[in-house]
Amino acid sequence: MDKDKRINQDKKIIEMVSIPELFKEVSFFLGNTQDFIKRDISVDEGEAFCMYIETLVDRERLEELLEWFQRSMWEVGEVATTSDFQIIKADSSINDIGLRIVKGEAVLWILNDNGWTGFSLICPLNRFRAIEEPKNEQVVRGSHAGFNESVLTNINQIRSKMRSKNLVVRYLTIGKETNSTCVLIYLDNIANQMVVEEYIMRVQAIDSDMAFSIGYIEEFIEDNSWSPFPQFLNTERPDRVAANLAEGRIALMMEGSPTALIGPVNFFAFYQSPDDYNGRFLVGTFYRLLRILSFVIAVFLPALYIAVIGFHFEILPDDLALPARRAVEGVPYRPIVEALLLELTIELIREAGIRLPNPIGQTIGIVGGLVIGDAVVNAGLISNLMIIVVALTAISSFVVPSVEMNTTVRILRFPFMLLASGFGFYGIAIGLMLLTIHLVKLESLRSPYLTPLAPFHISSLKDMFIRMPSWLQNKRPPGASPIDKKRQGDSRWWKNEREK
Amino acid sequence: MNAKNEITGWQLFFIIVQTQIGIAILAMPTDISKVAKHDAWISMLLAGLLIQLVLLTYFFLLMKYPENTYFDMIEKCLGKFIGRTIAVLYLAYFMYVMVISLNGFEQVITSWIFEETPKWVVLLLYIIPAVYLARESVVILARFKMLISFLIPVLVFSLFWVYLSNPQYLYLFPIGGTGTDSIIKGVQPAIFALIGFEAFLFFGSYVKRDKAKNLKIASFGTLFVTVFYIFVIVTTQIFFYVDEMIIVPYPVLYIMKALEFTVVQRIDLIFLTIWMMIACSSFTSYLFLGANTLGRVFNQEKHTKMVYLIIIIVYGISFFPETETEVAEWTDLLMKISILFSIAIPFVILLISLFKKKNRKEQSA
Repeated sequence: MDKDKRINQDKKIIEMVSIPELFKEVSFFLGNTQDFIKRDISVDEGEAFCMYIETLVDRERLEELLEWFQRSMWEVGEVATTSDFQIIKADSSINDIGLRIVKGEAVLWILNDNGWTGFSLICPLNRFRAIEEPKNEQVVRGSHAGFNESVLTNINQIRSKMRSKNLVVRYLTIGKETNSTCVLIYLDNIANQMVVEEYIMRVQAIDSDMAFSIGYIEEFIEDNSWSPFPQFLNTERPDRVAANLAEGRIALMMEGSPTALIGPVNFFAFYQSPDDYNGRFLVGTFYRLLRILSFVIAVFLPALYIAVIGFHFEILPDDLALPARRAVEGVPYRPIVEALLLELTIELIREAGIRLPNPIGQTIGIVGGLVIGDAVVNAGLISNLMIIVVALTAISSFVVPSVEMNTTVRILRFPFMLLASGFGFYGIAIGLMLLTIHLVKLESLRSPYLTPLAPFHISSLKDMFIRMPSWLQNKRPPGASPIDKKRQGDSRWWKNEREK
Repeated sequence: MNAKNEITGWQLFFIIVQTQIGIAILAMPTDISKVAKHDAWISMLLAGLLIQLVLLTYFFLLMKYPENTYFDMIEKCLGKFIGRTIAVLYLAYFMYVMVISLNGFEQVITSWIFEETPKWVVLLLYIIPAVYLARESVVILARFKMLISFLIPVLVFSLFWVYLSNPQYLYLFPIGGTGTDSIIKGVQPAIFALIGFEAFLFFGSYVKRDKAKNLKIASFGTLFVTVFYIFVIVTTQIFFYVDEMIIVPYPVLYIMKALEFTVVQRIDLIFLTIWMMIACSSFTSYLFLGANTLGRVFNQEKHTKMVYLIIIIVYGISFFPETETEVAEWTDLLMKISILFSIAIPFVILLISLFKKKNRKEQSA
């Protein structure tokens, strides 16, 4: 069988003598699948037939194309390669033909005295949902469009946002079985060619048999899979992609996934939201600082609480120490057990809430949050201070405007809690050291992950913790090592002019 | 994206700062005050100026052999065998510094927060991040040090509180009243507190572009540390009277302990947490240097495995000095040999290299 197949796929079309033989060979190549169909058509020049997989092809469109083909312009050679037609060379192999068919093309062959003449008719059947706002990346102001599962629609959305001659789209095919189409999008004059090449190389190096989503690909191409931190920015928003492309980054998209994978990216990109740029700069800055604070709270607050209760009670001011002591005294467990119990409960509620329909999800939230929270304190299992700490942590961890970073933050606090329960502040300091070293070491497409901080770039601090007004950000951030570092000139020269 | 194993002048600046500021900052004001009394800051100033001169030696050496590491220079001047021997001696010196550093750290931790925790646990935790960082290339090391330097302003600002509460400037007077002898005697512990400036010599060879300019930037690192230390000394001395200072082992921590906020009562614990990270960063420099030296002795390109080897040995040795007096004896020894390794040997090498060059010129003439 294996040997037969290998012989079969290398056969050339020229070697075939008749239409049934060609059909039989292709059919054999496709494993005699039953939705592979042959349709005879009549043309003046000789015997002709069309073969395709009926579940992949838009019938109506195919009929239109065939009709047009028969009626108007059958003169071999005049038909150039267009978006609907492509000429296929007669010396292509069964393998080439088979792959075209699997992609959804209808292949038309004419056999006459001159031999075989082949065309591919492109009429794929597309069933996609409409353009909607992505549910996990909603914004208050700004565009409400999001990607869908069709790559063409997605590229169209990006292209209509930036009509630039420098916008380059590269098609790549991955997955030995699935033959999925991936596209790499970047701005030729800004993105660093070395980074582009690195990205393409990594995608092409994937030797997996299938690639069913972009998240699956991400693991193959990221720099460090063992790190808890995401090294590519996932987004379903065309405006976010466009903004990142303009900073010299590169986006990877895939047929069937509404998500773009943007790299090289740094830690702070996960804390930026399109909303920051739509509002006033003070507002944007405030919320960005709030988000960074939320990271600190979400990762360190439970650990700090455990350390204070377990080791450093004296750090609390006298007025607070007494109520704290009273709250903790009745609890039979150590703070770490308390914290783990409650964190686990919250994670359970969250996980249960995701897949439930909305009304039930809310009920679970109320029952889980309010009822369990209240009862657990009354039962004396957990101190009410711990409830405050864990609730604040949970809320903080959901502030991150990126889903992957959100999960990272939630996972990260557990090692810190364990360290704090074992060694107090000393443990937290050690954990913090390890975390910082890890972040400094981490790279995304070979560019440092903590980039405006380490290595330190003073000019790109304008768009990190704070968001300075856009007309002050004249340089592109250096993270993606863009070729063209200058973003814009002085847009507000009129201001100085008037003052003169 | 910078090329591998290349650092900028500012990165070198922060490597030096982060190597110098280590364990010493807590005990340093007391140690110097024991000798120089209320003029400890003058001793520190003199020590700082002296070290600036030593840096000049380093600078000439690095500029004379811009392509080479320090050990290459020694081999060029004194031949392969002696060069190797000196490298081994330096390795021993680095490891000795590490042992002292571990013991000093352990003393602070046990006396201040964890009285019961066994030494091996405290030290084991301490070396984990150090190993994790020292395995990496010098570029990562430099980035980390630059990042963690943001903690130094935090320390400075928290000390400013002293100036707001009840500073006793009179404690500093009469300036120079302790007499020249005591002040000059105080220079020795002051130099010891500044140990780590030799990082300039070892890490300087990683600076490759614009060498003269970048090395000049970096040489301000020690000046920065000197000024910072003078600030710390003056701050502690206007808080404690000299007679108190001498019996207070970690004056900075005591100052912090007295400080109160509405939210946090014991600032010293937070200060100590920050200090741990800075101390560990200083320790990492020596681990990195030690591993690189060992790699050189064994002709290994990569220093990763050497890090493990060194840390095991250092961890083992650090249990030998058991009592506090033993640690103090070991530290006294370091005070003496550090001057040999950081000042005497580089100076001799510079002299030999100058002499050699003249020789060659005469020969060719």
